[in-house]
Amino acid sequence: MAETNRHFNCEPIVTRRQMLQRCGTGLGSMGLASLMASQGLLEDASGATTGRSESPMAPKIAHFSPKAKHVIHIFLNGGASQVDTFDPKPALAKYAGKMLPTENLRTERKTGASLPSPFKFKKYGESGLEVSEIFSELGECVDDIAFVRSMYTNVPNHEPSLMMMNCGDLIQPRPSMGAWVTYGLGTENQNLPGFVVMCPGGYPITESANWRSAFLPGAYQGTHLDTKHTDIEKLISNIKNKKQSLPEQRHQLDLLQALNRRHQSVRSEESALESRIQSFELAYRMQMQASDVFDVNQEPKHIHEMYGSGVHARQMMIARRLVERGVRYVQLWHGEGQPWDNHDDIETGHRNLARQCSQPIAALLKDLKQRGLLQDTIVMCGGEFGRTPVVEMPTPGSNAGKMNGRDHNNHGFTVWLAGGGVKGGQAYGATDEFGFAAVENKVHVHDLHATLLKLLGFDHERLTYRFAGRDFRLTDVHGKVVEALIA
Amino acid sequence: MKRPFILFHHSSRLHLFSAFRCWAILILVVFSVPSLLQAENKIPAEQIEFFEKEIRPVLVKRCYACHGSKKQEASLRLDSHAWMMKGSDSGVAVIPGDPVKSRIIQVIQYHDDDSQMPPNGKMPPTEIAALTRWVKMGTPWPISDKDTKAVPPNGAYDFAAISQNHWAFRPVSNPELPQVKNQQRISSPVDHFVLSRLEEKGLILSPSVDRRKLIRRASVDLTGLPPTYQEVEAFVNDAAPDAYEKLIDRLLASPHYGERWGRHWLDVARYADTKGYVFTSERRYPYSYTYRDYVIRAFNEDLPYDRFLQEQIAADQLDRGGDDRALAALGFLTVGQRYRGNIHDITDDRIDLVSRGLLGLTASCARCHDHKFDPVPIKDYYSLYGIFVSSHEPDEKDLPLIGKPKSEAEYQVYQAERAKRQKKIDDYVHDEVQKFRANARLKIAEVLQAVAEKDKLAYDGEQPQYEKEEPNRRYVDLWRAFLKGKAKAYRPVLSPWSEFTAMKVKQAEFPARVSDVLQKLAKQESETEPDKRVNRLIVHALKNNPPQSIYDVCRVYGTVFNEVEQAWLKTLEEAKQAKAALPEKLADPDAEELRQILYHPETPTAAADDVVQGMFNRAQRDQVRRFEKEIETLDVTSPGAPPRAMVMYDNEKPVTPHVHLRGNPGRRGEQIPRQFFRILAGEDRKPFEKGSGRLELAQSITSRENPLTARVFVNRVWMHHFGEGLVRTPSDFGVRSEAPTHPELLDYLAYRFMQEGWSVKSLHKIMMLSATYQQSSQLDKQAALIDSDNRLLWKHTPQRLDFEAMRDSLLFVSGQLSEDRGGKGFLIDQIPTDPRRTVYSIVDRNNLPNVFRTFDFANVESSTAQRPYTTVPQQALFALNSPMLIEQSGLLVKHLNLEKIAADKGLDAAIEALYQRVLSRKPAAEEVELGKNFLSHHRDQVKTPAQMSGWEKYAQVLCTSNEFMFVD
Repeated sequence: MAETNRHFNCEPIVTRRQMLQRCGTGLGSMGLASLMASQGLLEDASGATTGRSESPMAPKIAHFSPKAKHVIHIFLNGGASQVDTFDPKPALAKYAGKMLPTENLRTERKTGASLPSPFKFKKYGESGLEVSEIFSELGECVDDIAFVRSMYTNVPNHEPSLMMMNCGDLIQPRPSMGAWVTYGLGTENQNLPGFVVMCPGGYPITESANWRSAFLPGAYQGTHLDTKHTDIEKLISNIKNKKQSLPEQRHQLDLLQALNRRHQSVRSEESALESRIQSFELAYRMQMQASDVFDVNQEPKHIHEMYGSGVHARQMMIARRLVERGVRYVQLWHGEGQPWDNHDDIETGHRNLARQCSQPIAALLKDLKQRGLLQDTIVMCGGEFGRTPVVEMPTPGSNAGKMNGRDHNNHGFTVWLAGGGVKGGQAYGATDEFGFAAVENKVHVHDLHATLLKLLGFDHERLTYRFAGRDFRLTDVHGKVVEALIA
Repeated sequence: MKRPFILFHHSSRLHLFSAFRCWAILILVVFSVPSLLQAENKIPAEQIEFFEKEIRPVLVKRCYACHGSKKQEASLRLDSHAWMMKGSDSGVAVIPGDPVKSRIIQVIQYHDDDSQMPPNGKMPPTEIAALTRWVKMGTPWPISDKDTKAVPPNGAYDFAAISQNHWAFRPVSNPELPQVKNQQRISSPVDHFVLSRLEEKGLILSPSVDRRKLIRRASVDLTGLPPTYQEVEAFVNDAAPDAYEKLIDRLLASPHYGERWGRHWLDVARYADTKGYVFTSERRYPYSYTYRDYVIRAFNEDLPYDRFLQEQIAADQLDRGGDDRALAALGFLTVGQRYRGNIHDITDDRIDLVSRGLLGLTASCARCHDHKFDPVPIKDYYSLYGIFVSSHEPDEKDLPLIGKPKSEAEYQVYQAERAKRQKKIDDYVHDEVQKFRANARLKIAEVLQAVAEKDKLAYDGEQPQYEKEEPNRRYVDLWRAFLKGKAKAYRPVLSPWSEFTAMKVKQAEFPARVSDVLQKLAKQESETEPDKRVNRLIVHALKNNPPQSIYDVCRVYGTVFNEVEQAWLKTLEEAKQAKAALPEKLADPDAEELRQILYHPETPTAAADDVVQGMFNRAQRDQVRRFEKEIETLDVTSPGAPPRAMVMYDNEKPVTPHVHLRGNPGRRGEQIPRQFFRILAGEDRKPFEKGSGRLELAQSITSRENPLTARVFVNRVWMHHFGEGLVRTPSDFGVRSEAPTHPELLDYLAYRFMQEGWSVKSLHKIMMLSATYQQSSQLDKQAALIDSDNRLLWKHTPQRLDFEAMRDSLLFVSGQLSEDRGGKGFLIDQIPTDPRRTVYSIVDRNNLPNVFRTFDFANVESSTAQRPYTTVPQQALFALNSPMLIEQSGLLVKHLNLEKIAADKGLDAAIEALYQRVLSRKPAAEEVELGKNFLSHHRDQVKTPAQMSGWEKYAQVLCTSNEFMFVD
């Protein structure tokens, strides 16, 4: 087992030397050699231990003992309305159709009178937290959930807000949180990608920038799957050889490895050769594991019933199966584009959207819990921002004259967290009387990031990467850990 | 009203463009110690005691968390007197002797209308009093070990000391060749430097590599392709003493050389074919390929490197000898990410590109503050900023033509199609404009109401009544200006409007005042004098419908205009029906007077096409964008679209930039000239004077006096040949970089490179002809103990093929590689595989194809000198399963006709043919046996659409073997 050095080492990515230069992380490392040894893979470790070992995904040790090992981020892209979901505001009814007594804050478009939520809220659980009828299935889980009702971000536009929520910067090309986390922690299953992104139908707005690795090595980029497909080959590129069976391929691989060993025999000092040889073994086994993990048909009937049907049920089941197998970071998008962006018809829009995902999300939480996985998996759910509690005014050429939707709102919105060391059963922070702006215990997206990194065992100020002459971090120069969210 | 912050608290996240802040420990040596601190003995003992007892502990407790060595909110640091005196972003923090005017005393008062510090609660009165007293005393601060050692740079680096002390800023020297003992191994000046260092440690070079390996090493290095079996054999058997040099010359003369080394440069240039994320517009650059082709040509033609850089920064201002192809060089600056149009970020990208990419200077750190380590003050950053924002890029359609499409016929097709698509836009805009005007003439009531609303002419909460939505704001503003400006010219029509709008009375008084006005108007009705008469139709309408509010007045006007317009339309229609000549005016002169207004070009109802287009609603704008995108897409996709250069031109009036405090363009600091970096240009640098200054910038970068440009480039060429640079941080030569392993060698090469006319090909030769380059990569256990990292170069380091070399080599051995060069790119992830070299594939910056990322492609968002090196199972999956490998293995077997060889000459012959093709050598006996065994297992498997043949699987094995993927 490779020695762990808590002061300096983190797994060499480019070369050991370069990583030493770049990591200001103080990360510890188990090393690929030890990993493979532990899996009985490495018979002759001499090659890999003396020189460079290039697996960027080998599991690493964080700054301090982590509460959480995995993240599942459910992204309600387009921006779900907080006052219709998790932040009840009965005061809006008093002003229904009238201007609020407070001035409407500036958002993307012109807004008008108060628009009370068309949905009923009900108290659930021991904590008595209120949840909208459209997410009633989540009611049974509220005691595990911390609703952060005082989120805010910088601007009321999709693109920069998506970048802020995912990458911690409005516009500069920075690595996504999933990339940072896999950079910092590696992943526990070398047969599967460490950072998996699922989006049925294609891409959300700003596309793969949402899960990019930017200046971190490309290995940390999220692996995007269009979960509209059920065919494994369409989900992961090159996961299957269409022209030969696995036993045939094993035979072929044996020849390859025999030739590689011959080639290696006179170059024994070159660890890069050994690494590549091992990567083929990993890849071979990955084919089986990956096919297996995405095959939800293996789930028993009662699990299917629990999650329900449809693409979201399938996504959530896959997410659980991934986490169960050690995948570090999973991001689930509601769908292509920006489905939750209900500038019009919020009642039917939000009702339908919630119907698609409410039961599967609740099932995911319960399923993780019954398997003992929730305690080290953070489930996070929210959009890039929220929506206005007041109606959006029609603008020529859009809305089609409708006045029954809400504009974007960066001043206040809700993101909820569960599991992974999160202190559930609470509503943290608050928006004003009408749900327009966060006013109490405000939590900026940077603060959310800092808190998540803390749960994962990182000091967000020390998880850094040297690039272009400076040490970058997810939270840039911001971020404050919200201790109250940590159990 | 709150006073402006001086002390920003971290919750005030105002900075949209926040970013570059390098918080870390200061490197002391690079800063001079300013004389801010006076000798300690001047401070009376009781003041020292007061400071240490009452002040320092308070500062530590209350301030340092946010304004200490770790964090400097608002750039304010309070952990030494010098830092405190430096102040914050927004100015002076303390005025010694004047607590009232000192910001730090103001903010601790916790006034409601001011910033409140510390943010988590007011300090106890005793502490506030102590601090106030201390400021009053004149801030006596005894020097102590407890003070931070760092001092504020203030942009005032000790440039002279830094340029002497840091190797990279010293002038490039021309070192003597060091003496070495082992003269026999010397085959190029390079060896003197390498051997002398090795000999110091008692080491020697490894033996020369065998010739088979050498030709493969040289071929892959220079062309990215393996040698053929015949080439290997010819080289092995060539006894001529200059056989190796001839080989290098041949490889350098190959057009494949530019494709290989051009790609290395494209990494530095953060080249991609798309703009980054765009919403609905065309994301692809139609002409980025002209830059890529320029780069490849420049390497193939051995364009001197200084000229190469000058063209990429200022080709528009150079004498191009009548050949405008060099204009494409400016794509260097313009193919970057577009940051959704944000000019500050686009410019930052260019500054980073030029400084880090060409100079190894991490200047973009200075976007928000003086560089924390290197001598780059924020002012220097904005000097460069001024250069780039003083240039502009023409619209895509106006970019200069730099050649003809490959086919004239395709060009014709393109032009016809483009005209067709342009007409679609023109027709649509024309139709919409006509509709707008026709509608506007009938909807005067609407716009007048909007004017009344905007000008607040109504009282008591009256609301306008719009049919659907309120009129376009710009259109309303046009009317407001019109009514104001034309009140006199159209007096007969507008005087009632002026009367009513001037009244400004309460609703209750309105009717009474209205009747006054109406009476007055009635009197004027019979007037005929132009400056007294009023329009009869307007007056009648008002009399018949006495307005109850200003909005009624609007509606009356609207109705009258509407009737006039209807009458006119009817007249026209009747004339058309009767096939009579179209009338020129309405019979009723009062009606005609109104009609004239509706149709006068100065009236907003008849606004010019472009003005109306500016008022298009979202749906109309989207439609125009969709049509425009069709044209852009045509430019991107049509093979007949002629090549254009992605140029920049100087603006007529260059900008003298301001510093953006904290990188925030909304907070302007000092104004500074456009000029070059102080550390490189020296104390007596002159501001740039010619236009934007791009040409002068290019000249400064390529000046022989510039200590960085040649060193940086020479080092990167070395890195590509030897695996690691002499300086192992190839884009950072600053004070935090690693010192060169062989500083004299670096200088020797850089000096000679400049001396010999910046010839890149000569540079390759001097490196590759060395014994250092030609040594083998075998392990020397003794050497490994002394220098495990091979910094002294006692062996060659084997290289793995990069993505391009891997894919191109595969196409090469399968016999598919196309000789088709240049032009528009192809999609990398399509089957059948496009057989062109990988450098010609489209690089989509936002959604980089997986295969690029899997194989450690360069970061496409900013300049990359050295790609990452990872080994991940996805790479192996590509080798095992990708449609491309399966396809190419099949083509290889077919191309060699292996099954026929096997049938005619036996298995051994076929296996040998395959080895010669893929690995450029004959197989060993044991390898033949392994092959035969494998094939016998697969003998029954003939190729079908559903499965690979045994030969194909065998071919795939060789093409994915370590021997194929690595170069010794």
